[in-house]
Amino acid sequence: MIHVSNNLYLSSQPSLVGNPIIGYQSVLTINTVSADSDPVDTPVVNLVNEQTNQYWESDTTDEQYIYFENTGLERIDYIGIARHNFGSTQITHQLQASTGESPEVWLDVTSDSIPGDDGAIILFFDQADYLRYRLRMIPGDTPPRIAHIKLGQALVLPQSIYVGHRPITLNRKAEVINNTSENGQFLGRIEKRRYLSTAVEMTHITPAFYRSDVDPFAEHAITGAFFFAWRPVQYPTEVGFGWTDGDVSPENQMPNGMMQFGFSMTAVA
Amino acid sequence: MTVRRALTYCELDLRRCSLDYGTAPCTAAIGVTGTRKCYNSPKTCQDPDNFSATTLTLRFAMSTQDLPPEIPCIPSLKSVSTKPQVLNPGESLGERESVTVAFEDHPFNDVGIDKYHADRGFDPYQRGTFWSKFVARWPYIQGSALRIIRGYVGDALEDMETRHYIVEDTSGGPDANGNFSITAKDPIKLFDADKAQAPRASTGVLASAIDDNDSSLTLEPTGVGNDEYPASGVYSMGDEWGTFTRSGDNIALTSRNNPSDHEEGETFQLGIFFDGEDAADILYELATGYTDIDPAQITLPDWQAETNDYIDRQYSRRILRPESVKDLFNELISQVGLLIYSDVINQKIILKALREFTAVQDLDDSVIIKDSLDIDEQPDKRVSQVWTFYGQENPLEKVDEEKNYRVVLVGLVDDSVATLEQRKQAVRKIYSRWISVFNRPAAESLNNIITNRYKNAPRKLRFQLPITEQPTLGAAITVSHRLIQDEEGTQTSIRAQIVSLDKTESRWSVVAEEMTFVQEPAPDHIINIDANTYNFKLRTAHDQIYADAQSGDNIIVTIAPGVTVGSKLTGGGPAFYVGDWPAGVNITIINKGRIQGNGGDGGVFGNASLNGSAGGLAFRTDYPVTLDNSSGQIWGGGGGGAGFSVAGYGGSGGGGAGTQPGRTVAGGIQATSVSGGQGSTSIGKGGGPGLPGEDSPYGQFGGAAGFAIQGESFITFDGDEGDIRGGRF
Repeated sequence: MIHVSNNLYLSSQPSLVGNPIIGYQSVLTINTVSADSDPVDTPVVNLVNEQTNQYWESDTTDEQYIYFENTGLERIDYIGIARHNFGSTQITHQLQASTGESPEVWLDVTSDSIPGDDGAIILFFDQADYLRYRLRMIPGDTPPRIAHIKLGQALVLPQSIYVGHRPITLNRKAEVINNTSENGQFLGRIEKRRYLSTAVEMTHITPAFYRSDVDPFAEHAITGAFFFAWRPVQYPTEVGFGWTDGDVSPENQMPNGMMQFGFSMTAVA
Repeated sequence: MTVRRALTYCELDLRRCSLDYGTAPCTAAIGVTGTRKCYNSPKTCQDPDNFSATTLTLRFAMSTQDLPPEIPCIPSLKSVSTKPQVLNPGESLGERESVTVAFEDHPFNDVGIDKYHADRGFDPYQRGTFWSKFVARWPYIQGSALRIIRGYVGDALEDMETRHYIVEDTSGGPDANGNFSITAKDPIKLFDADKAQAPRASTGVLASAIDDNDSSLTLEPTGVGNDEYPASGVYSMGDEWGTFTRSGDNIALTSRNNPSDHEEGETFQLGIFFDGEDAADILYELATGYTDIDPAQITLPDWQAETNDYIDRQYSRRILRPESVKDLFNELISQVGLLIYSDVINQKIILKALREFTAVQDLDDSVIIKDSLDIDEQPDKRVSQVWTFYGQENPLEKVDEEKNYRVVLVGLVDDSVATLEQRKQAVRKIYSRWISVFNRPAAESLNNIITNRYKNAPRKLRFQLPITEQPTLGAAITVSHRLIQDEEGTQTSIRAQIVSLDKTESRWSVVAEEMTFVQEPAPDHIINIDANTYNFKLRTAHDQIYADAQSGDNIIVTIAPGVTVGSKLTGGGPAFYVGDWPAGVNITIINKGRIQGNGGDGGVFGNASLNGSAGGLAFRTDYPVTLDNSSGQIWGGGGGGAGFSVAGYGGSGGGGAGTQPGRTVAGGIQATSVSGGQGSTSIGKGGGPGLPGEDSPYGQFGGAAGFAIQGESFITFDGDEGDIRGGRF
């Protein structure tokens, strides 16, 4: 799901709120995350790398926090959360921020909420550069578990996408084996593997925007994973966490310098 | 809709130290034993003396969206490729099951693998890759346990099917494309020659040379006797073999066969002697005593129950030089009629006798996957004759040296159809080092098993089944399919045995071999004497072939026509001794040959005593027996003729008749099995079978005739008494 700040002043370009969001950039390292609960077997440092098989899992059901240090005071306007259990176990979550001054005062960056499922989350909010952030969690009977978090500045694409796009959470791919007997009996199907997939095509991109905003993402996508929301306001739950199939390839589209680019991605989160 | 979401995992057990670096008893210290902390692996250990072994299990999975988070894993498993084991009933251990697991490389933050990842001063995720670091930490994982686990979303891990293997090899490291693979096999791989030999090569050598008359030797290096050799046993040195006893490094050679001189430094090789044992016990000792297999993989009582119920014979062999355990298993499988394979799910080695199996599954067109059935002829497997060589004499001779076997039993396929079809001859020869000379029933049974199963070339069937079916390796099945028809075109079925089974996420791939077997009736204890032998002890011969006799057992001994059971004992011991038996055992002896005591020696002129020696006893029993001697001979040994001496002149007597005739001095007429000898004069002829030797007229006495029978009161004759020469009591 995606949360948009209650503050009407959303960004310097409010008309872009409904446009696709790519969350790839993150200020987090193993030295800038900590948590109230940090078990040896499922430590909080697992949140930093993009592998979704490794996760942080708390050992308590108390209200608790994960802390993030923005030591470089970088601009931050999103947090992405992948492979969590907030929906299935009814865990309230909320992002808060602090200047780090003493006494420390925590400001609500987002409202608290319980997602409808365990799909990837992007919380998108006013850009700011607080020194410290924290993810507040109020579990029920089950301790919280998260595989990966990104905290940073989102790439908001300049145009919305509609016709021809396959929303990632709806575009399931499965490798299935059908079994039929010699005399025509149906013997069932076995699903070997399942994943999500989509593709994005962007046209009429200014050369400056591609070079300043998209190209860093293209570089990251060579080895890294990212969050993607194709229509964040209208379909806030349709968010994927995955990786590109192939390269992000730009092309000069028009004689006036406008560019186009595209990529396809696969997700399991 | 019936859709199941498959999950595949691979678990790998690694040897790891349970201690913490630098915490007692670990004495490692940075700057002293190394420049950085270890990784708790054997390769990186800085204090090997205190390495405290435990197991680290890594779990990998095939990546899919539905990987359950409650089963922690690394989703870097790319593929699992299985080559299933192939059974070879009655012939060998078959082909091993082999699994090749392919992984892809990736960054990794070492959580769960490196205890000290937070102390390294860098983010392991940003340095190196998983498999490259892995091979540096654990370069040697051969022999480690590897498991392939398959199930479906919603299953608990412990409820999924787990198949157990032993790591055989790895690709050595990820390749340029980040691919890394591990190959593992089922545990019977541990029987291979490069891994297991029986007996083990001995390291004891002669401390000094011996010649062919010596009865003792000393081993070196000092202490090797206690280290490697039992208090008594069998041995080989070059082409010589025999028995020994030992005290410290001193060996007493209690018997020597093919004795010869031996040089200082020559190896004194300890052998193994299986003396009339159950095949299950033999195989168990070979597996657990000479391989690295976990003994828990073999449930000996199950093996023993199978051989007791369906084999009921004992087997014997001297193994005098190291041989591959795998080859020894293959020999017994083919000579006893066994099926042995690995149950990689339940971690058991299964032993079955070749016998009639009740079909446990009927498979037809409603379950066989469309277009999956393939039927192959196997013409090379057809057999028209079986020649079983048994009763090996010299255990050091080559196994296929035919003249080294005392008996060959030919089994012929009796099939008029084969004759009409003018099928070519197909002879299979079996050289059995495990079937003793008196164990013809074992050779007959072996011939019957092979001729019945292979008189027609068994067809091989390959097909697939849905995963919901539960075929069992080694089980009997019937297969009915539109491609299997009788001569009228009606769909019929083939009876077969599953010899290979491969399971993927969605299907079973089955290979089955057509099976024909005639159930052997529970046998009497048959003992056949088909070759000349000496001083035969029935009880000893019986116990080499069968388990201990019990009340109600029928023992039937047959001496073949033309065969002689003789005596070489100079003390006159019986040629045939029935021995002691528990009450209630029924013993029948059918003599179609000859039982004969040894001949007495003729008196020798010049000796203190000039009397001839008594002939030897032919047959003795202290236990009730039924004796059919109607076409046989029981002859006591002839007494030796008297020598004489009178006024400085004399002569020697002739030896008495016997299978080992009595001695007649040189110059006389030697005794034979049917006539006594004659010494240097006409005085003192040796006695014929069952007759005394001649006295001399000068007061010397010929040897008494050997008795034909001792224990006559225990004998019930069946039919005519036959040719009995000599006294009875």
